[in-house]
Amino acid sequence: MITLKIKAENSLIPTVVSIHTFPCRIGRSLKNNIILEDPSISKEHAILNFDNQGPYLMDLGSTNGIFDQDNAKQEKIYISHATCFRIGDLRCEAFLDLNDESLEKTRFIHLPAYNLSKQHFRFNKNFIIFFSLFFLLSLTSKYISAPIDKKTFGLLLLEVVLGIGVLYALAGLISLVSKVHVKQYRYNTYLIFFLKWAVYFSVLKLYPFFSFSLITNELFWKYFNITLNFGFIFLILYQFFILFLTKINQRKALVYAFLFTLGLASPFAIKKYFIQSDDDLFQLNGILAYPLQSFTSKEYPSQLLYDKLNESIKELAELKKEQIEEIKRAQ
Amino acid sequence: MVLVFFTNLQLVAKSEQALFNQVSPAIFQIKTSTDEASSKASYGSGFAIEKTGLIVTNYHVISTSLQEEEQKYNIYVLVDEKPILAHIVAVDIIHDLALLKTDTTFKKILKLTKNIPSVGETIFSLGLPKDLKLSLIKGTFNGILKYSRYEQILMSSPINAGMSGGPTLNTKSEVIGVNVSVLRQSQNISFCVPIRHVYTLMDSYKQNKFNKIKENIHSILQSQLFEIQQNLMDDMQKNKGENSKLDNWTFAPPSTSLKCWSRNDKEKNKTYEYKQQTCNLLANAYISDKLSSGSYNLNFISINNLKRTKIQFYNVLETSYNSTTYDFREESSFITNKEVISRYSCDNQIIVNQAMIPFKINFCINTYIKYTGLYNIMVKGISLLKGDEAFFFAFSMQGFSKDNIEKFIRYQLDHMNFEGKR
Repeated sequence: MITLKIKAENSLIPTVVSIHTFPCRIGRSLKNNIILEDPSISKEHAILNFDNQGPYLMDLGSTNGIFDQDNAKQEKIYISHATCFRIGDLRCEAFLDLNDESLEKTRFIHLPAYNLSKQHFRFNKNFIIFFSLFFLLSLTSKYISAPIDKKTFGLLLLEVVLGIGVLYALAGLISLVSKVHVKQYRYNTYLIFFLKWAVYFSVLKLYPFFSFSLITNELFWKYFNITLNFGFIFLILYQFFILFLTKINQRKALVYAFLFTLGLASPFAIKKYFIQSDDDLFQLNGILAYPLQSFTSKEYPSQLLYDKLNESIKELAELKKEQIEEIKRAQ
Repeated sequence: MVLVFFTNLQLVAKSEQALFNQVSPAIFQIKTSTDEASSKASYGSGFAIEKTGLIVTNYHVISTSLQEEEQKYNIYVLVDEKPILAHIVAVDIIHDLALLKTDTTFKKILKLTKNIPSVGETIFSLGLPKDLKLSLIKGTFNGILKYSRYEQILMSSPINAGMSGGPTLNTKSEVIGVNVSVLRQSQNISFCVPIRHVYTLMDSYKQNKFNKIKENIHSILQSQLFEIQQNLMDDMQKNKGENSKLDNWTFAPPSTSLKCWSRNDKEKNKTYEYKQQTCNLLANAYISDKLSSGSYNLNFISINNLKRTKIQFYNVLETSYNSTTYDFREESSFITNKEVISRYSCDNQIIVNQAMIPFKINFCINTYIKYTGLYNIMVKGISLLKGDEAFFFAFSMQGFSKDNIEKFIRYQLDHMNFEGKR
């Protein structure tokens, strides 16, 4: 629990407010948790919340801003016991009840807490460990090529690029949903948040291409890929549902949802028109990714090949039709 | 002695002169162009064989006139430098022959002979090289080459472009063949078609087998293409060659119609061993400048690991497998012109053959736009039994039917075996 003593300049008696739930929004508008009727306070002025460094007060792009003990304007102030600060023209003092158990039970919402005016991407410990491990693994097999063929590689790259595009749309959608931050600010924060995760996941997804690894089982890499995809989707949905609590701008949300579905559908379109060009098909890579010895004639009779051959010939009839139409159109 | 030699030379020179004067009125330039006055699209030579206006030339000389394009090309025969319109009446793409018919009558025709000269005999090739003037080129008869249905006379004489379709004569000024082509990247080695194929073509023309040739050209060519592939299939199983072993790997012996080369490579530091046998058919059927068909080739490679680790060896295998091209004869053999040939349809499959050897097989198949039921296919397959001894093959086939492709692959796959310890 945090207790705030709030005092206007010309008043003598402070107002005392106890805050139990976080994040706690402060401002002049009725939407806020704490409503301060003062001309120096903006409609959405500031937010009180926790991160791993403790409770903090963050400016939401207000007109008059927030000031720390030294009267310097700040974007974010970390609060310890008996910290003094100023919101607009109102002086405040915060008291932390450190023995309060309810504080621990308070729902902890993982809001991305990037501050745009400061360096938002920090090379933290986890990040460095992740990358060093990745490159170390890659170095172990510098001269060995990948177990997955070029076509799949192209598709994966596409997936990554499109994934980032889809994220952009999602970031827009979430920014509309969440009423926690100022609109413009929210948008960029979420975008950066997702971009960072996109980079993590992309690197993981492309990992098998850079290093052969000693795992030559195609199934393993398949499930590896699927697990990553689901992990990412889970992350997005987690953020999404937590914030799907407040009102939504319906029309804009529909536009973003449309973009989102379009993004999901486009890999198929691109696969058809770009990946399957004649030149690519000549390169038949990824032959030896698994041990051939383990196959038996019961599971793989040679008839399978002739069946596939017949399928291809059937497919050719359609290809030929298409091509004849193309030639006619060109004339 | 010197005198005798001298007079002998003079005699030969005299007879050459006589021969030239005797046959030159029956040899013409043939060109294809949109009308009489416009410049030519293609040119070659031809010669009269019947006074009623029948001329023999090469199919490839006049093939442009059969293409369905916006511009229609006509065939003209230049008689005394006057263009006379001619029509195709019969074609044989297997031997690259065509019969033309004009409305004029010829005063002079050439005499054909079925007698094959003995090897080493002097022969004379006539034609209009490079659109210049009628020329006589002296050469030597070197015998007949036979690649399945494709039959050619090998001769040593410097034939040039434009002489195609001209006659090759023996010393009695009788026609023994029709000039066809020159072996590229070689000196003075050229080919002509034995005259007996002209006889068979004339027979089938006289039996009215080529009715409405202009309208039915595609079906006629298609039936000839079918004939070629059927012959190649029969030939593959009848005329078995000898080399069918690379290290411990055995495979179906390539037909004697194929020309085979082998290559053994060892790296400097000998970390692996590479052995290859490449076989291909030296002849194929010319359909148009964008399309040829009726040919196939085989390529077998074995790679043995000497010092590399398993993964390093895999790397060698993968790069050499991927860099193995399907066709070794010419880069342009598999044309990807979209108006002539369809796109590829590719797939791969793991199979285990009769000898319990697993293969991973990749194939790409496409078809002709104008001919139905014929396909071009490229097949690559690899096997790696012990991890140290790898074997892979690459086949390419042009203009084969669905059944014959299956038959061909079945035949090849069933004959692959490993004789060493597994």
